[in-house]
Amino acid sequence: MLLLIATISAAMAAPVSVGAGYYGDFVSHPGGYLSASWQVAEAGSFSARVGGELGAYHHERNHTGAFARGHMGLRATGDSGLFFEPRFVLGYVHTWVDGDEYWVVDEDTLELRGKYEGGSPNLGYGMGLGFGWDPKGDDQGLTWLMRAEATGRAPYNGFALNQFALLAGVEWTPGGGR
Amino acid sequence: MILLSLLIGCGPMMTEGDYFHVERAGAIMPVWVNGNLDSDVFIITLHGGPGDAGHEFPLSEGFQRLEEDYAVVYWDQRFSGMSQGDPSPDTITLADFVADTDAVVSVIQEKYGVEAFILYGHSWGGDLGLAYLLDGEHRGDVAAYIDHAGTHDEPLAIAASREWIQPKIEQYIADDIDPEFWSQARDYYDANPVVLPSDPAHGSYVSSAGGYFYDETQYEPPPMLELAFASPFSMSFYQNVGRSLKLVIALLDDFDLTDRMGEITTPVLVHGGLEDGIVPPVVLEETYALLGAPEADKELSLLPEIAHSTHAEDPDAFVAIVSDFIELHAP
Repeated sequence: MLLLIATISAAMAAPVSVGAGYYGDFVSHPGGYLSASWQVAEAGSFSARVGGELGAYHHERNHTGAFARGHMGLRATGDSGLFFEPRFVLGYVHTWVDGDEYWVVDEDTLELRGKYEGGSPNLGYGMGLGFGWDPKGDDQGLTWLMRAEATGRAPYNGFALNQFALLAGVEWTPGGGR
Repeated sequence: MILLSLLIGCGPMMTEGDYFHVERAGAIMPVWVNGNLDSDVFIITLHGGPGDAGHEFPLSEGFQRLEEDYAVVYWDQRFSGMSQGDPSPDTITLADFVADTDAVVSVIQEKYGVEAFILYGHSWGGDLGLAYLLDGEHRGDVAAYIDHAGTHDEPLAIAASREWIQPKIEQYIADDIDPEFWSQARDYYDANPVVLPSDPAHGSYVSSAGGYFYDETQYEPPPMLELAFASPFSMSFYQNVGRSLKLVIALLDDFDLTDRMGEITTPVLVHGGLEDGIVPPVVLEETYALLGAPEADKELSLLPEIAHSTHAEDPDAFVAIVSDFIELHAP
């Protein structure tokens, strides 16, 4: 609890970085995300970051997903401004199958559900590695980044569905920083 | 960049026809209706495995050509293919698979105004189709059934499959073909005088001996990149084959409809390959013999140089045999 309070306090004191970009479920099923993150600790070229993301994607004839998730990562930035950032994500994913859904209520009753009616709640999780470039190397202004994630959602057929995602976008920090 | 260039080369697949889902008892099962939707003939398919996917059928030339003349319904069973949801493992029962089939049939009948239809089952789907003809709520609406390499008695099939592979193993060893591998196979069968359908080792040995595909060089592999990145396929397909298959395939261990086969009076085509190593022809001959349908309404078709999947191994023969049977019995 103390660690959580300390992290939140550090986050509140740090400048927020906001981001947006492409979210590709299994790389090619398109979507997008908005993010906010805070640098909560720094040691040399390393900085710890926490934050959250809202996003959605669409897999044609399979499902549409919308997510809200938190993330925690460690960014290592070189002198050139190039950085890499392993991170964990955890949150909520709601999925709707794509297309009409006929629901067998009982032996004699069949209901047609609307496209975004109901859906399925899921725990979403992931572990990713991001690469990026902070052109000024000062953690201010625009930063370009790309993340590859091993991600998944549960429950799914008695277990979980594990797969991949690709995120590519920009992050903007309005000033301050390290 | 390599990945991007590969993705750019991927045209979207499986975009034609109608696509929807049917939810029953926790499983959300995808249904794809494709082909000639103006046709009066609907073929409702039942895929194999258990645990494979109905979405695999249209990857074969045999089904692509059937779609020219007929409306074909592909769907993935619970815990299979791209089926979603979180059904309880307690629903892995034959009764639930029959009820799921009924649910799909109900939707097809309601959505397209179809009354009678053709039912087609391959491998495990062939077993399921026979069970459907006995207990399905809409079994009376099945104008004709095509049992492709499915059986009424899985323990019988697995025993026959064991008999099929043993002389092949001895021949491979005698011919010095991969002797270490085939010696391991011989040891396996010596240690397992009774093999269960759910034992993956047996299926693996049968596959290696050509029991699924007689001539793999004739088999055109599916377009994996397009399937992965530009189709309804997802990792669910691969995970279900690996994980759910283990759960669902146990259904086969005591699957035996022998005592009830005489109740089936629907016209039935029993089709298979003479080189099938997993459901050898002797089993299909017995399935055919036990059917209660009059001689004029049942047909046995066994092709040489074909193993388990005529639709992929010899599309010309598949289309000819299936179409001829459908034209005889179409609603």
